[in-house]
Amino acid sequence: MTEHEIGFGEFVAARWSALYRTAYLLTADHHDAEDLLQGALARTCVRWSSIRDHRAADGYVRRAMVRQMIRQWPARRRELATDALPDSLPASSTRLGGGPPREDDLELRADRLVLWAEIRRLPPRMRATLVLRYLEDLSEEATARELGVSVGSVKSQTHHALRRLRAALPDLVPHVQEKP
Amino acid sequence: MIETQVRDTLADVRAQVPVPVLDEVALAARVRGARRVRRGRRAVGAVLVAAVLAAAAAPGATLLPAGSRAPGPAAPVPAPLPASTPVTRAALVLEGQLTVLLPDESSYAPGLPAAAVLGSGPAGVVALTPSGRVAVSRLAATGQPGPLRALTDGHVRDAVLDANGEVLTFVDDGGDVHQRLVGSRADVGASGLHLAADERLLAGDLGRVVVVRGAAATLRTPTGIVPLPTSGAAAVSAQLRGDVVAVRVPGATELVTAAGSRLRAVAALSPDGRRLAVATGTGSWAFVDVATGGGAALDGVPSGARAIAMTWQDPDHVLVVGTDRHRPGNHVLLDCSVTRRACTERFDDPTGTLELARR
Repeated sequence: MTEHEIGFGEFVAARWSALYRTAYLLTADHHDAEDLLQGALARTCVRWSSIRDHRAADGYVRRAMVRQMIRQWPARRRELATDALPDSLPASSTRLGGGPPREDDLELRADRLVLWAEIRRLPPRMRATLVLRYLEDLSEEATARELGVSVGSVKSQTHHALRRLRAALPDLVPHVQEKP
Repeated sequence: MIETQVRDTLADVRAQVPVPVLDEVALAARVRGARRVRRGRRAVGAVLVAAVLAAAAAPGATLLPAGSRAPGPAAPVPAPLPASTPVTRAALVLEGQLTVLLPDESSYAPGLPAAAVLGSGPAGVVALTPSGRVAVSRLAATGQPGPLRALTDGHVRDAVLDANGEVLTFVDDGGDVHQRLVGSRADVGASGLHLAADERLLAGDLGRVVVVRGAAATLRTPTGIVPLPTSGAAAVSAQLRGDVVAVRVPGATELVTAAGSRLRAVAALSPDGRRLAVATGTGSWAFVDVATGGGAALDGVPSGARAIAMTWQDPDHVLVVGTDRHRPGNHVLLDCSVTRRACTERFDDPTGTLELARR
């Protein structure tokens, strides 16, 4: 028993923004993200008393979103990037110290916008695999558990997703070495 | 490296996404909908469990010898819900020691070596010691176990406790079956039963024992032997409750009713034999009314849980030890309530040695 039991309302208030951002990356659509997150939160709410560690409920909601998205996938329209892209990507992530963007900063931001556009076109399961592996930093085993698939399937999805991105963006400039 | 670019891009997009304000009204509506769906699923689960039992329960000849016990109910009558009781103390074996888990999740482990807990009753916790004797430990009001007091004079081959924890049945090294009240060192009359060297005692109550020889299980009384129509797998343990016997074989439990029907699951009969706690391999756990087949699915079962064994504490509570695929190697103790129709986790054993009382 923890000293302070976290209530569901308290959890939602604290984690809504972070979970919404994850939902957006999974769905690549604002309306779908809100719908997916609301559904996952509702299912979490009715099971709240059986979740052992409320401080770790993020993982529960995330898994609910991933599983729901994958379940919906066959019935959904083929993913098309119709939602507006984020207006811009934050300069602070590409330019330390601020100041007006340099030409290579602009090039980097443009590349990321293009890459995001391609990521959005990936099938949901592939996109979810990339989000879990590269953004949530989950291992292949943990990703497999989240998705409810085998580790081999995670490896395969990752491989094919990256191959698609490389094929779609053959001219993507490797900027890693260019960071100060 | 495309991986690095994907990681950076996703991180940038996440940081940039405008987040809408939480629509609390919409969320409340979704929660209400989720509750309705969940209630519907529970009802469907109960119907499925009931259907399994109903399919297995057909009228037939009575299992028990004439005159030994009253026959089963003539017409299906739902078992009334037991009175709701609070979570009680649980006597267990943990790392080879008698351990009493208290309702507040604290525990006593005073260093009493135990090979197995046979069960608990009014006289205390009955355990099998590593040297093969049966002993009882009276619990203090706080739940702290007292010293072990021998109930048998010497080594026993097998020993079991009845459903109420009042009658001890054991087989001495010579194969003679003894029955005595827990706390007494004198037999309750002469059982007249004798087991061969290759026979094992699985269960017993006053005047009856369940015995296994190879793959054949039988119910024995001083007046006769009744073969139990199990599938042929070697029985590991058995429960004798009222007019029903549950025989556990590796990976399954065979429920033998008066009609000799079976149910594949981990299951345990309530102390009065009227309700069955069932945990199927698919994760559906339920209480089933033995007379009507009516079932009630349970909430609170972890998604990766798989039951290993279960035992009733009282007519309201059943303890279940299982594994959880999300916690490999651990044993998890769940306490499931008939009246609450839910399970709560009481203990997470990282050593994987947790065992329930055999009763």
